[in-house]
Amino acid sequence: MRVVACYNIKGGVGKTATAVNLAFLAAREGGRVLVVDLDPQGAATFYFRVKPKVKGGGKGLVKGKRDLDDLIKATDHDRLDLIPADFSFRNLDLMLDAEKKSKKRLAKLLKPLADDYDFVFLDCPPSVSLVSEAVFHAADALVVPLIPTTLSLRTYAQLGSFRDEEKLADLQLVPFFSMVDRRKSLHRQVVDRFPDDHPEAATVSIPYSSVVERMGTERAPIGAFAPKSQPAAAYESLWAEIARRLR
Amino acid sequence: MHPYSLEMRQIAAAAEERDRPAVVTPLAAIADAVRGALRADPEEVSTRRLRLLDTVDCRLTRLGWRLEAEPGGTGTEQWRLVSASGRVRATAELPSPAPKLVDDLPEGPLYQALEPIAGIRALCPGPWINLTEHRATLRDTESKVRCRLLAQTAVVDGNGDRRSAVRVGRLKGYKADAGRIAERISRHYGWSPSAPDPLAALAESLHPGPKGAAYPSVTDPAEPAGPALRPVLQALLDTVEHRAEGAIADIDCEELHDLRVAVRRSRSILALLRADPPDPALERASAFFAWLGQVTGPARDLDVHILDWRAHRRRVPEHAADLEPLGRHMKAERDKAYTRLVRILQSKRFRDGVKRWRATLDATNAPWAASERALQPIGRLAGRRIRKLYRRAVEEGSAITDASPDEALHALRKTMKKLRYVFEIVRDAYPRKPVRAILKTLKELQQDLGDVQDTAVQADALRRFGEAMARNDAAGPATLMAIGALAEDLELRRADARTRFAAVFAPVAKPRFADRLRRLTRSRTGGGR
Repeated sequence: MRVVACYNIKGGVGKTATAVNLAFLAAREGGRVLVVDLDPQGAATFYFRVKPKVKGGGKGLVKGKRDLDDLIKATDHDRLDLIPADFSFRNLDLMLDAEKKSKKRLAKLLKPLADDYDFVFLDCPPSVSLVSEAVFHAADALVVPLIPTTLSLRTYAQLGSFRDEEKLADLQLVPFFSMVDRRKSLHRQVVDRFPDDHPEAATVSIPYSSVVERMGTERAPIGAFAPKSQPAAAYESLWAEIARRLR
Repeated sequence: MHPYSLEMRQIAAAAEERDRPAVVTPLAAIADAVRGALRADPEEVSTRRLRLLDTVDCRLTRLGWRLEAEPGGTGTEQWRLVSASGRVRATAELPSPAPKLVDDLPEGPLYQALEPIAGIRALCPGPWINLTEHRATLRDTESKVRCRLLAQTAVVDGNGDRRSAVRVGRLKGYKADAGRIAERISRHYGWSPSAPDPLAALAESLHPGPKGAAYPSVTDPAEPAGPALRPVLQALLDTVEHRAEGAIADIDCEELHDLRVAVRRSRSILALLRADPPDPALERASAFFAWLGQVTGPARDLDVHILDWRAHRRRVPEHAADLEPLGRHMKAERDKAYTRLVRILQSKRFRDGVKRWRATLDATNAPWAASERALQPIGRLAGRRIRKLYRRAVEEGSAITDASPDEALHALRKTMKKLRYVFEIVRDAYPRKPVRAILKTLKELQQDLGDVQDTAVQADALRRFGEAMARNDAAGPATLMAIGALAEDLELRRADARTRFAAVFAPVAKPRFADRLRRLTRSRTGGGR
């Protein structure tokens, strides 16, 4: 089982769209996939038409009192399941803090699922917190969507430092650009130059597109309602690249 | 009464009249009937034409797995391996006709998943099956899928065997919905949603298992040897006959192997029953099986060479292209050997030998069954033979040093085979646990002795093939070098197997092992000495 976390310190950069679309593609290829919606806003849960409610709330999840399997909901897509978000996840930091070895708690909770799933995608809330640290310890790869702006690049640098401080050398970072508008010269410059300093960057960018926004009205991954669109093709290439790195 | 109930009951009653499982038709009607707070999407109907593949000994079906093949794009087949849980383990698009042996499949998930199960066995396709699937999806007010219904009907071409089932998909987190709907389907229409998957049911009917049990065993040690061994010998003769048919049809190279094993086991039992003065019928059967073992040897040797060549080609992909002429040469030699083999297995001598032996076994008052040995309890008779063969094996094995010729190991291998065959005849008469432990130790030694012998024979054969190919200009320098490398590799493996000999022989020669064997073969056998 490989754990992929979609993470950025900043919000509104396309983390949820990335988690949902990559998970859909992994399942479509035949993998058994679980998405864990850790963001109390519950956008991934909304996209999959599942009620944002977890039995026992965040506390039950963190304490591991309930079998994780009981919290899982099937989505409308074959082999793709979800642990939905719950509004109580806004206090996940505090709940984790009350546990022993809090940073390794999430990894421990996911471990029993190894026989049932090939991939777990973590849709993370935007922050640097104890939840983020727990995510870093649980994940094999951190997929980091970046908007091609200076501020966005700065947050990526902070993320790199944070990983080094936490001594997580095995954690792969896979930054990529999302919401790219190639009509804007700044976007073009940033996208073209970034790989010079960051060879770990994915070669694929996700274009800015209304198709991605339609996920909210269709309540489905792009591959399910616009499989031949440009963003669908971009996500496919991105998943192919990430899957290769995870092997 | 529910508006749809009458119609559904009529369909079910009509199906019952035909003495077949109910054929599911308007699934949307069921979905509509059981929906409750859910709404049903329009029903989707699809048909597929596929075949199920399995090895001759039905290894996949016995595991509950199935391998489906259906026509793909131009000149291709789409293969799908489904595990017992219904999970698709691997898929592959293969050129049509697809390779018969797993070893010839391209490297990938399908090969990785099939190789440990099917090994060197050929994959044989069954008849065509027409599968019709009706799907209905039930959604809640948020349009979230809460339950999926699937009705499948599979019909076999030719014999018309038909299996149907309705399945209610139990989606994680929504199992209560599925349970409620399944209960309503069952109550209203009398259909069991837990009916087996039609394809799995057909796989079991199309691939029921090998004909002729290869390794039968006696169960009552006190029974006189004659009557106890008669059904064992009959089952072995069945195996010889069925495997001969398979070898003639050249379904799978293991057909011939199984035939030869049945021959050797029959010979072991005949040796056990050998009376003084000799019984003419048993002597005739011994001579027949000795002949059959000898004349089927060359074809089997070539099968082994080709199997090893395939394995080697996979181990050293850089030599694969250079080894192709050798593969072609061996294939031509094998074809010649199989032509001779088929002639032998269709000969009057073979048919008469089988017929006579069957008549001997079927005769109720045959003299052989009244001999002094045939009247002894089988436990005592086999136990004595096992202990004698064991003493001989220890004697032969203890005399082997690093300087001993390979022939000494070969002689020990033959003794070990005889010992194992007699032991396996009575294995079910002994407690399972010690039998398993003893067989494991014996098998390890036999495996090593087999490696020494097989690698030596193969290296020798390779040299002969190389010389013959060079004489006929059938091999260039690269091929001859690759053959040399292969022979060298075999030589290294032979040396390695010889090095291992002392370590695998030691547990067999240990007093503890001897004691365990002695106690086991003397227990519950009438105290034979």
